[in-house]
Amino acid sequence: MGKYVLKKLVCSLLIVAFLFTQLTISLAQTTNFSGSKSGSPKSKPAESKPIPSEQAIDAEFAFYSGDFAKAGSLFAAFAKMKDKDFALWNNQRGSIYLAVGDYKQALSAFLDAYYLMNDTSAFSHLESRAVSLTGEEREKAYKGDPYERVYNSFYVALLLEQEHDYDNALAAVKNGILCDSDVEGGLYKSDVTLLYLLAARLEALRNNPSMSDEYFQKAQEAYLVSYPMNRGVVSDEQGKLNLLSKKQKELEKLLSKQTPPAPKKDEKGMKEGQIASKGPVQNFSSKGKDDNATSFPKKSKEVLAFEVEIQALETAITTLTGIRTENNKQISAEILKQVVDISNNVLFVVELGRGPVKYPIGQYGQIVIFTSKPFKANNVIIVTDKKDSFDQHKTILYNDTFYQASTRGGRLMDGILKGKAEFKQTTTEISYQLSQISRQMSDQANRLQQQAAYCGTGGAAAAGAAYAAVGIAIISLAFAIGSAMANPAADVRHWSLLPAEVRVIPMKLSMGQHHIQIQVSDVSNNLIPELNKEFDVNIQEGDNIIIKRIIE
Amino acid sequence: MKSMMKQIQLKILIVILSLSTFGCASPYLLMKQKPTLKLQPNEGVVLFSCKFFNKDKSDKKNVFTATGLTLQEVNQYKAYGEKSCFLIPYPNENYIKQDDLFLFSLKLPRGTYKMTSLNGLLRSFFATQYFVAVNKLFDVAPGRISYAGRVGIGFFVSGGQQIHETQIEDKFEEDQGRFKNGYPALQNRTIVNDLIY
Repeated sequence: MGKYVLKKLVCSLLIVAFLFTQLTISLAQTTNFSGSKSGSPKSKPAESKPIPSEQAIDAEFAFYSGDFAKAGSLFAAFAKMKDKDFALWNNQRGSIYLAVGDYKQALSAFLDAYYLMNDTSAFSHLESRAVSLTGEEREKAYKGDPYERVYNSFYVALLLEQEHDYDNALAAVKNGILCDSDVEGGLYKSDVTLLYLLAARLEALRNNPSMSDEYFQKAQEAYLVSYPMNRGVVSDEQGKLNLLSKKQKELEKLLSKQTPPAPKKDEKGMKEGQIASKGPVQNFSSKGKDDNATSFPKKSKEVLAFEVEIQALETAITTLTGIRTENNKQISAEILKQVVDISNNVLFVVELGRGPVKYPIGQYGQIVIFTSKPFKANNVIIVTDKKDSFDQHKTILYNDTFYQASTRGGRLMDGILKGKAEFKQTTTEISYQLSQISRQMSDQANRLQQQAAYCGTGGAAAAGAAYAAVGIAIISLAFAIGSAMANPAADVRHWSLLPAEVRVIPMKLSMGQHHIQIQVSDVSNNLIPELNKEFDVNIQEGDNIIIKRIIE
Repeated sequence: MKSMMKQIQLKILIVILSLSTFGCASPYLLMKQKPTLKLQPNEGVVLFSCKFFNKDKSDKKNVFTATGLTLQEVNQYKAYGEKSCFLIPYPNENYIKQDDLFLFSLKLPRGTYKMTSLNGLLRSFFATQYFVAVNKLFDVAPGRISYAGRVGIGFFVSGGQQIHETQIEDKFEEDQGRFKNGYPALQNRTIVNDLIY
């Protein structure tokens, strides 16, 4: 009887497990293309067999090995599907068109990506699935990290400027600035110098000098903050500012707990005044220590410890700001003026290396990190008509995408993924523990059954233990299924054809044909002949943008 | 009858062994006695050296014996994939005693890979199994033999716990000679410098 029930239970479990797997597969299939269910009346029949998106990696390899035709055709095929990765495919296509010098197609591709990346409602139905426990983050539509949106806006603006559409170019720049301000760290907000410089130039071209000056001022500030000499200090300072903010909030919480239930009117007023005077970041300052002492008869040890920590942090921040101010004195921002000077009718843009690579780490791939592949090109000299040379001193340097990618702060999604990973870990452990208990109970049931066979007693106890073991096994299986269905893997889709560094050389060239040579050398100033380029350009009236990619 | 039973037992043993090694493979293509190197059209080779040292006792040699490594393909267009564990069949054969250096060679299909960890035996106070997390990327190009650098791993004890730090060094000139001299299959082949990142 017992064996019969056991067999039935095992069969039922197998059926349940099978149904669960089918359900997960069908759920995954529904969001494969365009977020619509396959076979729904709206979906069109496939004209040709779609290429699996996994093969997009072939297009990346083709691009970096110089086979732009193959890379372009593959990404174009993916873009045709108009799926949730439409913006990604178009950003990649845009980079390929830029590399071959087809600016019109590049603009069209970047604009396609631009509209989707800045449309919060597009593919929004996929987002709820992505944040669910069983969903995967990569199921949502690609809209890019802030740094990717910044560079998309930058290229759109640059290419619109090339077409002398200054109003729309300025709109794209402003959008980029807005995307850049969408970061956690206050000091890293709006530190993309090129965007502000472009805005200043466009305002100058639109005959709006006051706005141009304003943007130029911000460009200078961004340049100083992101200058290599300051990066370590800024990072340290930002870290301390974050910590200070955290400590202030903790102190605030602690003080609110310790505040007497009915404070006197004047005491309350004094406290509010203190907070207001410190600005948005420094809500609590150690400077208000004496005033607080009058408000509270006796401070707890915890409060005193917090105040000491806050004071130490404030001192450290002041020191770091001082170091940054001293560093700034050694940095010349003169070159920036050349971009805003509209008598320089050519902006020569040189792109070097590979952009940041985003990849997952952690037990379940729930943590995202960036790395960058080293590249040889270090010094770039532009020679025009074999006479005028534009070296590092005439170049705006230090616009590296890796710095922008790695200083954008944590994402909201990271918290969700952390939660999913913890759930997966916990359920796996519970499932394991329960399966161990179930096994032990099953062994015990077997022993009791043997005992019953020999002695004729204990049969009921054996059956009871067997049922309990099966019950625990079912719970264990449920936990195991739950664990298997939880998907904390982070989304690592990224614009992998972005360059590592964007350099801008403003220059003045007369209208007509010019011969250009790009000489590339490594960090020891040894020429790298295979990376040199030589070509002719036709300079036209108004603004001219020349973009060249050095691929290695 | 007895011989049949033995045959069945042998078959069962083979099945169990192959099942137990499922997921682990040995891409260890370079052997001192192997004179040639055969690659499929989509395959490439990655070479790198490893220096393991004890930061607390710098004079101590042979602190770690690598017995395997874990790799994972990095493809942003694919779902998070499985890690593959690769066994090193003869760890001592790839260890250069006078330089206290391990030489690694891997034959892999084209792609970008993450070296997740190096696994082996750590000789500190007691010899213990240890997983050295690396989390660095390298590229494999078809038909190319590339040098990915020297992975330096320093072990030390901090807060009562055994930890390590990893650094990548470009020792192309030095290591190229070691690989070419050590393995006859590489003697007439071009090695490209493409560092792990």
